[in-house]
Amino acid sequence: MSLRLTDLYPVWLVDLGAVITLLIIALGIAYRIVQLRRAGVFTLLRLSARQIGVSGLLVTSVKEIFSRVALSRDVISGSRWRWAAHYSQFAGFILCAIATTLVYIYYPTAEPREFTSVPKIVGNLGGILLILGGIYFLRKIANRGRGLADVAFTSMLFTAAVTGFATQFSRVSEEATLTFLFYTIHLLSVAVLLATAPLTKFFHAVQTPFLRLVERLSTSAMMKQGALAAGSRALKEDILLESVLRKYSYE
Amino acid sequence: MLIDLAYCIGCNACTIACKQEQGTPPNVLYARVLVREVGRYPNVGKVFLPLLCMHCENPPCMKVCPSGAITRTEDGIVVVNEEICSGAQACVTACPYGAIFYPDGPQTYFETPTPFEEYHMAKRRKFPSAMKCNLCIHRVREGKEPACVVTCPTECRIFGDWDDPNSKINKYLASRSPKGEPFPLRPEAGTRPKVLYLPDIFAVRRVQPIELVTSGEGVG
Repeated sequence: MSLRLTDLYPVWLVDLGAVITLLIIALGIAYRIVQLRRAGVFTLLRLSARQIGVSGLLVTSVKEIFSRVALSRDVISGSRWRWAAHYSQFAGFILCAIATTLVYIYYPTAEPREFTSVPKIVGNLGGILLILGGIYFLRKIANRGRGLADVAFTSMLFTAAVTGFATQFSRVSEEATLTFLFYTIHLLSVAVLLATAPLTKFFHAVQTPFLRLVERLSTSAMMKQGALAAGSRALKEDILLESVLRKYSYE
Repeated sequence: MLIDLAYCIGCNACTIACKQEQGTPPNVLYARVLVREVGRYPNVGKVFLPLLCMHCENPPCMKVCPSGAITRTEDGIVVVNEEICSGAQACVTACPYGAIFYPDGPQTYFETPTPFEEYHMAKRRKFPSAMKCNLCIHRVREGKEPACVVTCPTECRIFGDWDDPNSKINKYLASRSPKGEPFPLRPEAGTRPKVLYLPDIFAVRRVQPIELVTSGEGVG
């Protein structure tokens, strides 16, 4: 009788944990959206859309997402190693998410054991990439020091990847206690990683590309207007001047 | 800081003083003056709006920075830690005042850097980092005022502690005639800026129609 993870924690319990985590994430994201809205980011988006039209907005967005975000092109200007580590974590997380989804859809009652099964290959590749990227960033944190949000995210992602492998290997060697221990840490670290995502560095995976996109769209809008100043600055300056002029009720 | 818009003449001395003090690369202007022409011919005027980092109490740049590179010091100055900045540029878009710059273009004004530029470049790291006004923190810590403040020929920038009733700012507000209520820029952003503005009391007068003396009237 082989050791099954679904015996350690039944599917319904993991699902319940996932729903609670999702609710916490939704609250965190709502908080972040309110912050960005107050800072006027959505106003920039609206003003840009008015200038370049909805089709222009869509075309620029798709172009940016594929050319810049998917390849983390903005990060490449730092150093090749940093880009490689950054991209490794980005791709690693995506692969792990795909593997988990595949298991959830195709193996609802008992997860695959063979290392040659598709979810295992995808998940293990993702895990290796996460660990490689994690080592680079943890070394950087140890050498130069970082904020709590950065440390929490990097260490949590690393823990999730390492305990994922530990669970897998202890399960193969039929070590029930160890498997239970590693699997518990794995589930908890993934839950905490996702639940705290809007407040840790994790959120920059969504927020930074979004803000870069807004900046790009503002540039397109201003160029269409014939302004020399690129980016959102010119739009913001207009808003600031208008707000002051309103005080004097000029014609 | 308090900026009295009634006395800004748009001379850009603050812009140049800041450039001189901070040695910023091209297209990076911590202190700049926006200009807008107002009114209708023949009653026209210009409105100047000097801008710098608002050193907000609730800075959005600090909240969106994924690396925690932007912090607020105990004395309320918002600073970027260049060593930690990862170059994500989220702060550039999130700042409602357009006060954060990311110099990914040329770092010098001339092909061969001047000794002045070399001096400042040596202090900066090779990989660009977000840059913003630090209220000349090095000067403030020595008990001096920021470069833009000491340079302003009309003294429209008043530097001091808002919480200290004996500070230059509060004394100025008490003595200014007519009294004006300092206002923040874009209060809807909820940033609670620490750079406030006093309205231009002369602005309305400048663009009011001038009563012309018609020929013959009152003569003889």
